[in-house]
Parts: sequence; structure tokens; C-alpha cells
Amino acid sequence: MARGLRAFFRKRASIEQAYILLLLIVAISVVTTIVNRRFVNPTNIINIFQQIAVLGIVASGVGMLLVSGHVDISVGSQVSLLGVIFAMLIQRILGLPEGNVAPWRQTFVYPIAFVVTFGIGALVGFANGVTVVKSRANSFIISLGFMSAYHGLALLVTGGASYMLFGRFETLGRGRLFHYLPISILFFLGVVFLSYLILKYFRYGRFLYAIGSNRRAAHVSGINTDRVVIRAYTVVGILNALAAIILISRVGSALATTGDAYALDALASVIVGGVALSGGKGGALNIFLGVVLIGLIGNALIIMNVNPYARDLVIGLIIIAAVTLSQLSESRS
Amino acid sequence: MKKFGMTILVMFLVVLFVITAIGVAAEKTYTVGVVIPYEIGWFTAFHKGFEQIANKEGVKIVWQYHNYKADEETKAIQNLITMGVDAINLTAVTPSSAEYSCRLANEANIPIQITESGIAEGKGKPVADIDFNWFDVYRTVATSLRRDIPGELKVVWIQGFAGTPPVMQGIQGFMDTIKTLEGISLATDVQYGDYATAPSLNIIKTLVQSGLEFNVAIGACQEITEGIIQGLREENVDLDKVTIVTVNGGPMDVENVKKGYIDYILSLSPGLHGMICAQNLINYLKGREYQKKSYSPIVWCSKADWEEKLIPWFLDESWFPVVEEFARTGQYKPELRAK
Repeated sequence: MARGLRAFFRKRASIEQAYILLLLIVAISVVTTIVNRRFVNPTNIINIFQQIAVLGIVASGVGMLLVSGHVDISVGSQVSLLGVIFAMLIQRILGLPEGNVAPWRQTFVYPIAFVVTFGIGALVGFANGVTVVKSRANSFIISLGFMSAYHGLALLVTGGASYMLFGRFETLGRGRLFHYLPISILFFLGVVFLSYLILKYFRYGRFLYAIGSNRRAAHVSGINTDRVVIRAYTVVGILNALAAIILISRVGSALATTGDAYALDALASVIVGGVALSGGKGGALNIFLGVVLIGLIGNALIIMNVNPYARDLVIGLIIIAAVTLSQLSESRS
Repeated sequence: MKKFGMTILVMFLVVLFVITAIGVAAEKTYTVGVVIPYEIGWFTAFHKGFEQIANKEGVKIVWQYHNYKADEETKAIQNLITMGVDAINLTAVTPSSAEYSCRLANEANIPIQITESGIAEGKGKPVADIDFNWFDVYRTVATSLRRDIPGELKVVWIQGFAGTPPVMQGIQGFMDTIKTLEGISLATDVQYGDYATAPSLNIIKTLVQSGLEFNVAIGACQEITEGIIQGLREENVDLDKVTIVTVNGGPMDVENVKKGYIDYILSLSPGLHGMICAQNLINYLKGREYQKKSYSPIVWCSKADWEEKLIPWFLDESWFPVVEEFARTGQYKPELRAK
């Protein structure tokens, strides 16, 4: 009975959070449309989704991990590192900019680049997970260390240079389905849908909630908490590899800092989306709405021609408002 | 006889000592400490240029980084002082932090050269200040645009990090200049793309979506310009109707100008800048002619003449005579390049 009530209120809180986010999204959209009607232009809406695609993929991983009560703030450095590895492989294997290489290189370059990038992504996530689990240290501190380590590794690998794709491999980041819908959006929505299924219907998702709510109780009830947490970190690494590939395909070049900004943006999106920092609460839909809100604010402020110096202030205030409203509604429920 | 022998021996020893001393003096290996923000993009090329000249001159380098944090800069300077380097080259965080770093170096009697950041008034004094005149960089952009393109110019301009000295000086230089010119104005506030492609791409697309009318787009570095080009292409904007200007001339810009996307480049070379900084400081150390205050070269290039005028980011040994001449006289003479 008590468990049923708790579940009901948790669900209600989650729904309320979604309402709050939707309300904010609608309010910002209405205000922006009043100022500049072009905001609701379908092309602009598609642009917003294209702009948040990479952030959304990173945030989905971070969000699922945070449900288990663990944080990974090294995601930005991971995206940077995986991005430069991916771009470097393509540039080196294809011998760009000349590109006069043997046909087998042309054939195998992308499979090799994909396998290596995803492999290293999984490895990086696994390393984070194992370290967090085995050290028993705070995941924030461990991932802070990894953030610096991956940043340094990206610098070592590149020697500070940038790697360009010279117009190769543009489909994933720049391509459009039926010349209209950016392919990156499909990946973003696909990842969100997959996160939704995992968190709602899969045993693994329920384990994440259980560990986030009470790790000790989860362990006592027979869940291999260490394995689940390591797996969650590995998933973050794999999603970061996907995000890095899409990002590099979109911008056409990679630096050791290309993805750095995603760490805080992803965490902000996830927290705005109502995932508790302590874990055990949150959902894929809310994470999605959090990402949309963050992307929407940035777009709306430019469309409304708000002074660039005031933008960060407005973004900060809206994030504070969203989190405060959700906390108040949660404490009421 | 004994006395004579002793005298000869003493004289021989004195001569030997003098020769050894001269030899040691001639062979003295200088060590220069170089402080830069980090090792990415622009500063990678700066690093390489500085190193090429140091190798040529047989000077050792110790690298330190500050990540645009003033306290890290102070730490780096203190580390170099502790190490006992012969001279310091500093790309400072701000003009004020540069002044304080100079104060620390002055107290330790280590010559310090400031590069690229300027220096505030104060007790700390550098032996030399090699800069890019950021006011002049964007003054040149404004006047060259006005000279080369007829009609009304509505400019969209994406800059790097808001509030940093080069950015703020550049904006002031541009704004002051367009007040004196007819028919050139900003279509909207200066935007900030953090020297990166993705944010610049998003900004330009959103500006197009907002219905903003403009016919000139300026990117403050190659990554920003790449974002501008990509964004305009994605929005199906006719690139013939927008004049694209880049303030850089890096490898990405070279690719884009080859494709015909870029109309003008204000060429600034971090590689040449690094070479000039190294040569100037080494000239000071070795008692040669050097520049107390100078500005590294900037060159306005168009689609038509960029191959001939653009200063590459990464330079080879053929540029050494150009660098030596600049450090000696402050004159940029590309015609001196070794054939």
C-alpha cells in the first residue's frame, strides 16, 4: 500500500515536472512569437531540434546515469576526445586533403572509424564506471579527475592541432531525410525513445531507479549494483561516441575542445528535466523536455534580438525558475 | 730559469683561462620561458613558430600554460623565475595581469616580453611588447570592406569570447571606424561564437530564421567562419549575395577560400607571430637590434590575390630572413623570403 502510494506520488511529481516544463516551453514560445513571428516557422523549429540533437544524446546518457545516483561530468571531454579520434582516423586513413589512397582505404575508413570510436567510447565509460565502483569515492570527484585526464589525452593525441574532414562524411550531421528532416534529429529521437523504453520497461532501468533510491537496499535485494553502475557508465561512453560522431560530421572539424561545453549543458538539461541529483527520480520524457527547454531558450533569445550580454543572465534565471518550481511542486506532493 | 718557467706557466694558464671563459660565454645556452594559454589551434601554430626560431638560435624553451586564468599566469611566472630562466615571453590573460607578471619578472631581474595581450600602466615594465593591434585589425576590416564593396553594407559579426581584451578592442576599433564611413552598419549586436564552429553555426542559422537582413558576415576566426558558411548553406542563402570575411587565414579558411566560399581574409599568422616573438626576445638576449614595441603583420587578401598575399599559419625556414628583418627594423618584407 505504502509502496503503491509512493509510486503514485513519484509518478505524479514526474508528470507535474513535465507540465511545468511544457508550460515554460509554451510561455517562451508565445512570447518569442509575439516579438518575432518567424520563431514558429517550421524551419526554425527543425533548426532548434537539429541544434539540440548532440546535447540530447549526451543528456540521455547522463540522465540515465543520474537516475542511479551517479554523476559523470567528464562527458564533455569524452565527446572532445572521441571526436578528435574519429576525425583523425578519417583524415589519416583517407590521406586528406589529397585523398589519393588505395581503394580499400576508401572502403574501410568509415567502418574502422566507427568501430574504433565506439570501442574507445565504451572503454572510456567502462573505465569511469569501474573506478567509481571500486574506489567507492564520490562519482562527481572521480569524473572531475577523468574530465581533466580525457582533456589532456585529447591534447596529447592531437598535439593541439585541428583535424578536418574536408567535406567527407557529412551525411550524419548535415544530411536531411527527404531534403527536409535532419538525420541527426532522428538519432536524437531514437536515443530518447530507447532511454524511455529502458527506464520504463526494462529490468535494467528499474535497477537504476532502485540503486538511485537506496543503493544498500537494492544490493540486499539481490541486485548486482556494481555491475549495473558500470554498465550505466559504459552506456554513457557509447552515447558520447555517437554524439561525437554526429557533432564532427556536422561541424566538419575536430579540436581537443570541440565537445567541452556539453558537460554542463547536459547536466543542466537533465536537472531542469527533473532528475534528482541524489538519484531515484526522473524520466526520459522529462530529460527530453529539459533539453528542448535549454535549446529553445538559446534560440528564442537570438530570435528576439536580446543583447548577447544579457543572454546568459536570462538562461540562468529560467533554469533557476524551472528547478525551483519543480522542487516546490515535489515538496507539495 | 725557474722564475722564467713559472712566468711562462702562469701566462699559459691565464691565456687558457681567458680562452675557456670566452668559449663558455660563446657557448652559453639560453633558456627562455614561454607562457601561453594552452596548446590548441592558434597557439599550436604559435608554439611551432617560436620553437623553429629557438632551434635555429640554439635556445632552450620551457613551456607554461595558464588557460586564461590570471592566478595560473602568476603561478607560471613564479615557476619560471624559480627555474632561473634567462628570459620570459608572456601571452597574458589581461593587460593588468601582464603588468603584475612584469613586476614579478622585474624584481627577479629577468627580462620579460609581452605578446598579444597588451600591458596596463604600472610599475611592471616589459623589455618588449609585440602585439596584434586589435583596434587596427578591425579598423582594417571596416575600411577595406568599404573600399572594396559598393552599396549599403549590413554586417553580421560573430566574435570569440565576450569580454576578452582582443575581442573588446576589436569591437571598439570597428565601431569607431564605421562611424566615420558611409553606408556600413551592424545588422544586429555583435554575436559570440566562443571561437567554435557549432555555436556559430547555430547563431547564423537562427539569425537567418529571424528574418534579419544582412549582406556581410564576419567570422573572428576560422572555426567561426566555417560555422557561418555551413549555416548559410544549410539555410539555402545564396553565398553570392553575402560577402564572407574571415579574420584568420588558418587551414580551414584556406580550404574555404579554395572552394570559393570566402571573399576576403584578414590574414594574421600565429606561426609568423611566434617566430617574430622568439627572434625579438633572443635578439634582446644576445645584444642585437630588437623592437621595443611593434605589431605583428596583418594583410588584407581577397579571393583574387590570397595565394600571393596570405601569410600561412605554419611557416618553413624560407621565412627566417623575413622574421630577422622584422625583429631588426619592424618592417614586414615578404619579398625577403629565401628562394
